[in-house]
Amino acid sequence: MKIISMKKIISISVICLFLLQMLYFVVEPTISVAATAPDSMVVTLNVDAGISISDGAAVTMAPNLSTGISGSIGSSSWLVKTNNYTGYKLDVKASASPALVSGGNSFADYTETSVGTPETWSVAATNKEFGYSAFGNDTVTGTWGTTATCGAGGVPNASMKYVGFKITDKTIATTGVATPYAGTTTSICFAAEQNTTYAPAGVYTATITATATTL
Amino acid sequence: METKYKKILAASIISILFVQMIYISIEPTVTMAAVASDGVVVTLNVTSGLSISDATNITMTPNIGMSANKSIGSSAWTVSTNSATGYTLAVKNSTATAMMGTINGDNFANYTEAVAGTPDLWGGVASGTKEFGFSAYGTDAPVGTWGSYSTCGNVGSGVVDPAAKYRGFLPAMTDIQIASSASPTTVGGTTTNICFAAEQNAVYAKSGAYTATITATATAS
Repeated sequence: MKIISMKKIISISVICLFLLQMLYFVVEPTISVAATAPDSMVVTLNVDAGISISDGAAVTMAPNLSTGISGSIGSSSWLVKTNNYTGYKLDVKASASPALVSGGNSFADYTETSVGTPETWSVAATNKEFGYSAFGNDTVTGTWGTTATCGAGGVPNASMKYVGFKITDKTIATTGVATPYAGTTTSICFAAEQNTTYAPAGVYTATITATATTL
Repeated sequence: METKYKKILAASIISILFVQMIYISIEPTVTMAAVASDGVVVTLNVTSGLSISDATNITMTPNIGMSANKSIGSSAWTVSTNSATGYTLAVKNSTATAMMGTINGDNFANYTEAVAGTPDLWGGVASGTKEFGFSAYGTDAPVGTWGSYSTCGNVGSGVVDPAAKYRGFLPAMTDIQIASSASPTTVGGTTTNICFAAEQNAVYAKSGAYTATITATATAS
């Protein structure tokens, strides 16, 4: 009987102490009596994605075509800068079809064996055509070739792959990351050729628009 | 049984009476003085307590981008304490590099001082770097350490107050004291402001959101 009473007393005491402790936690403002009190906050900094493109220099192809000269090349370039962490793409298109015109005369847009797939420069007899290629850090060499020069003496570099312009965009460079702070340059090579035909004398121009877009 | 208790009670009363008689006979103060006094010690314990307010989360302004290189922000904590010996207020970061990109894998390095650990004027970060640091001001923030100023700077341009001294958070993620007092605060508490600054110089931070979680701890001295 005595042992049972003691057990009861101990049990009740423990329960009471526990309840008192719970009550203490509820009514006691924890912060106000703590020796230390922490608080966390979050600082957010947003970095906006941006992209810029340089002004590609207008170019006069060289040499001039004539009755004795059948090939001419030229080049220009664009410098793209972006902090967009998923990168960018650079597209080009012509303002007219065909691209290179002089009044009523023109050079046909370069014709590929497989339409739209860049290939080594080659113009069939009796044709005169105008096309382009590209090179740079963000240009796919499998598509555009592996060289870093447009050629010489009016002859396109044999390692480059050319395609004809369209009035719709075609991507010449792309990357999945931001550019370096200094940007990334993509060069474009132009080529024109007359093969056993004469282009009527005149000034031929093509307006090419490059568009850099964040991905 | 009842008789036994009665005996015990009687014996107890007699004993107490006996003891009381002895006491009266040998106690001069009580028995002989015309005036009797006695001191009573009253004790009141005032428990030391301390509280800290919930600082507002902030978004620094302006956004950094390709044409905006600087950004600032501020928040504040109000500390109330009755601690006779005052308090300290310290801050720390939750990641070794405090300001981390949430998805782009990039970050702003912790601000590097000319003398490591000593706040200095935000003179611009070195070329090719981007950094994030902090300063503090308020009644209990020592101006000798943090500079004498009362605003973080221009929130439109992100330019810091030229008098503010900045430092970086620690890679070890340990506390850095920003304010202290050797006496209790007022009932309303004492507010300490924290200024944040970020800058990129001749480098682009990758686009996206960056966050730093800062924990302030007020400790009774």
